[in-house]
Amino acid sequence: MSSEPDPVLLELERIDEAVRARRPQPLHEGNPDDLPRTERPSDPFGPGALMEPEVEQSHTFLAAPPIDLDRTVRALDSITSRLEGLGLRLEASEASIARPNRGTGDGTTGSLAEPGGSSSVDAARTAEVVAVSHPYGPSRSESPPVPPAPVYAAYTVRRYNETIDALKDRHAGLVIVSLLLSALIAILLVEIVLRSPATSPPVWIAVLPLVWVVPLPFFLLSFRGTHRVLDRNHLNLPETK
Amino acid sequence: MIFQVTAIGTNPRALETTVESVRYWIRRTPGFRHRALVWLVVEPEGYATAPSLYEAWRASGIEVWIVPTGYRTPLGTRGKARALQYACDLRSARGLDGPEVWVYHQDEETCVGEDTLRGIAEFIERRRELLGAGIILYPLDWMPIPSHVQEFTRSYDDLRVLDSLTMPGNPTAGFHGSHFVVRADVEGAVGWDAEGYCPAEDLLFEIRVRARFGSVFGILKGFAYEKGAFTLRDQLRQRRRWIRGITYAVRTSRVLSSRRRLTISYSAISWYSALPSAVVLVASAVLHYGSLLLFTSFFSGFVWISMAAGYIEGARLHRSYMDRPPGALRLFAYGLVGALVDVLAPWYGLVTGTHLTDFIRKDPIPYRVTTAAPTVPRPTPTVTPAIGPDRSFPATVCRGCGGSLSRAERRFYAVAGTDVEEPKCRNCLGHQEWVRFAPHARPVPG
Repeated sequence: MSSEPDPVLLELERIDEAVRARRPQPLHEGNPDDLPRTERPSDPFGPGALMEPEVEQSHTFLAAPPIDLDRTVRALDSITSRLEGLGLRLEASEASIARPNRGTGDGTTGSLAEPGGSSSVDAARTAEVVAVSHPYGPSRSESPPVPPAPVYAAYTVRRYNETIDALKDRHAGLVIVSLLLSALIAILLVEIVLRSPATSPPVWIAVLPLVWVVPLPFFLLSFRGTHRVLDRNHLNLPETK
Repeated sequence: MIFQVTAIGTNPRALETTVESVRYWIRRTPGFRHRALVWLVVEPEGYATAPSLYEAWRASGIEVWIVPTGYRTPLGTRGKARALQYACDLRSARGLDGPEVWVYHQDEETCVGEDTLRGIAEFIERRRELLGAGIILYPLDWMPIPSHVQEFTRSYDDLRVLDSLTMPGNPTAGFHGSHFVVRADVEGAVGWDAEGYCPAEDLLFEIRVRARFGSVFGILKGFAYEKGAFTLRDQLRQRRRWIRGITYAVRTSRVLSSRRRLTISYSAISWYSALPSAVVLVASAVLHYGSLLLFTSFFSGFVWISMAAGYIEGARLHRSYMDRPPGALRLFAYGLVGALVDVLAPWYGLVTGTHLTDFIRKDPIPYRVTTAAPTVPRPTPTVTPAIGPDRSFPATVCRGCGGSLSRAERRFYAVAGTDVEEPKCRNCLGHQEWVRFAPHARPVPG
């Protein structure tokens, strides 16, 4: 037995070291806001990414470890997405089986299916083809796609509550300032009118101010309604459950 | 729990963002323990825009339903109401129309967040009301343009809508067709069918639910995230559809009580009165009709402040969801332009008709599919791009055919920066390589 180390094992060790060196920090389980930007998921290129040839990946791994690491993460995310999709389909089938079709009474689910016979079976059949021809997915001759902007992580309960709290904090002041400014503007306008020379309008124009009054009740109701909703103080969501 | 996105389907990029947001947060929202299905109900022309994309969604578990061209409702409704009725029929046929099933309605650009899903879960578990609606923000693809600034007021106005909606009789007539959750049996019992084309099917639905079940409306906590119209023309067309929808509901709804008819009519008249009010104010000032101004001045302050509060508070609601909130001056200037469009819209609706195609573009970059890429490259356009390297965005041309981005596209990418996916060339979809050059250094195509 030779004591020389196996070149394959050496290669694996080098890969392992490279990966560990590149790994920034352990994955978070908590608030998505805390995640580093590159770890945020949602990969619309998922199906296409799965079709990337494994051989090519292994060849290019050493040359560009971070890129391939990204690819692997994307591929894993894509597999997760597919599995969850399968779960959803199973649940849908379960619901259909549990209650027979009232439209036809035969227990099938195809009576209202879309034209072209595009049922779930057909969908599954075409899945692989679709993965190749996904319009946003990468073709084999192209460079890897730019990952989408991680937009979803911003929309969390914490941010919602902060926004609502800030609005409610301003609520009382908003009422006071609105009424004060309204009165101030009214006084200012009256003052301008009284100081400026005015001509007498024809009689028929005298009815025009009624037009101005029409939306006033709507504005008053809106003002009251808006502040009543804020007063009730029940827009917040619990942060944790 | 069914997340139902009902749309024509011609904005696949917007749809993709919507669908991905639902899938993302279903997996990651603590406390959301409901079994969830995602339904996409689209028209055949929408499906034809990107069939492979729809099939990819279908393969990943999204239920994509295409409303058959031959599908007819008993009353022969058209447009979105027809698609919504089709979805009702589908649920009924699949046994998903019981009181244990809830439907969350989304437009093609209605993205959800963790807050949305927690709000939905909380609403369902509360089991007090049958239909819940919430506040919509418009931060997606936000650009500093008047039509987007105008949407700030809609978000703040949602507070008024929520109050009115939860009161008996909905005195100020508020409801919107997305970001609401309803029990499937309630929706099934009321349905969406109407006579002919119903421009505001959501209002008609609210009227029917109220007429049949009474005041069963509640507040849905959590925001939904949408995007505004990308042009003033689109904004005008959107508002025109709304006002036509209100008049349609007042004119045709048989279940509308006389009191409700009055309140809805008053809301419409208030909207119509905005333009004459502005004219009266300007005329009285310009013609020195002091007595008129004296009369109106008592109310002007309150109306102006209420409107200004809509913009300011709306912008504050959006602040933490936007990269670049607008400054005060820009807010004021763009708000004025946006408000002018809103003021004109009902009168525009009076003199022009509403069409089935009035649903506005939600993809900033039009998604077009051609059957084959042109074999002969187009000559290099001679028009110099408006935004060059000395501005925020360099000239962008397609290496394959020399085609350049449209003005709207350039503006979108100038604002969005480099975080977004590069667009495909609209001229030759086969070439996706975009090169950024100064206008004077354009490459020769081919």
